[in-house]
Amino acid sequence: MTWSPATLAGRLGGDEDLVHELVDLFLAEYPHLLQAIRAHVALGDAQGIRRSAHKLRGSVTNFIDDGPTATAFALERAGAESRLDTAPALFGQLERELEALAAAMRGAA
Amino acid sequence: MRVLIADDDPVLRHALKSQLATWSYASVVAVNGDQAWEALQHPDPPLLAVVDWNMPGIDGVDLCREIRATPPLAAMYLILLTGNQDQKDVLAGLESGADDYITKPFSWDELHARLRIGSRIVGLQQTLAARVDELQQALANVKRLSGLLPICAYCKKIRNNDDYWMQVEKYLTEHSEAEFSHGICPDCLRTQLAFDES
Repeated sequence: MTWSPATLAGRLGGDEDLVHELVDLFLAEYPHLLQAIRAHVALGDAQGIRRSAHKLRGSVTNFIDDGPTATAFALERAGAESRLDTAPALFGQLERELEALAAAMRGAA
Repeated sequence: MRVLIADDDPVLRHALKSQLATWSYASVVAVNGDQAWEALQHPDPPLLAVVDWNMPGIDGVDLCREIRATPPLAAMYLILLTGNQDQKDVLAGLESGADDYITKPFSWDELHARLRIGSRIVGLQQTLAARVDELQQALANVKRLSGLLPICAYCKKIRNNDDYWMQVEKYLTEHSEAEFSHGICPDCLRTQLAFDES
């Protein structure tokens, strides 16, 4: 998993202030997105898992192509295909990867 | 040019607004499909839009359909933004009325290039609409001349809308682009010569 503020700044025309703003928004937002997935996993709500994982993937993909983006996609597919048995493990992995990403973001700030 | 941004992700929404400002576009920002639709009901709506597919309320695909079905908005240039990458999703997005389709994660340079295409097409449509308007006005003038004109059977004066009898050349000059240069036809020349000799 690789997170690089410099890479993101490069994609955004070198605007480092914008990178900081986006990181702050993400750090404030992702716990709510994660909580929504947790609730759907607990309920065994396949379509809810698909929707909430898709929403989190849309947000995290602004920063990183692999790691939590790939895991959120796997969880989204699990929801779409009603493979609920794989959801708890994928959610645990997603949670750990997002915590690592958030720590890297806070460390880079 | 103003661009409607409709996305429920605050991160991408902020990034889009900021990048569009850098590229000299003004933004009208909506946090979901319902808010986007409401923004389009105001006079002089944006002619370009970047719309996320998955949003609460009206989603991006339904928003594209609503826009295409609404005559004052139907000429908008719509870019659909989505994490759905399957070919059937791309087709469904385009069939909903979107002009273009970008999958996340996307390159900002690519989005910039696609917005330029959208701006160019909107500009061409505006030029075309202005030209059609001019032609319709010209056609209205032609129609006025093709209607029933009351003309005197003897002196050939035409009665205008104010009940005033006008010389035919004056009437035509006022109601068309035609101009007259005066001469004399062979029949009149003979008549006039005979009159002068008598």
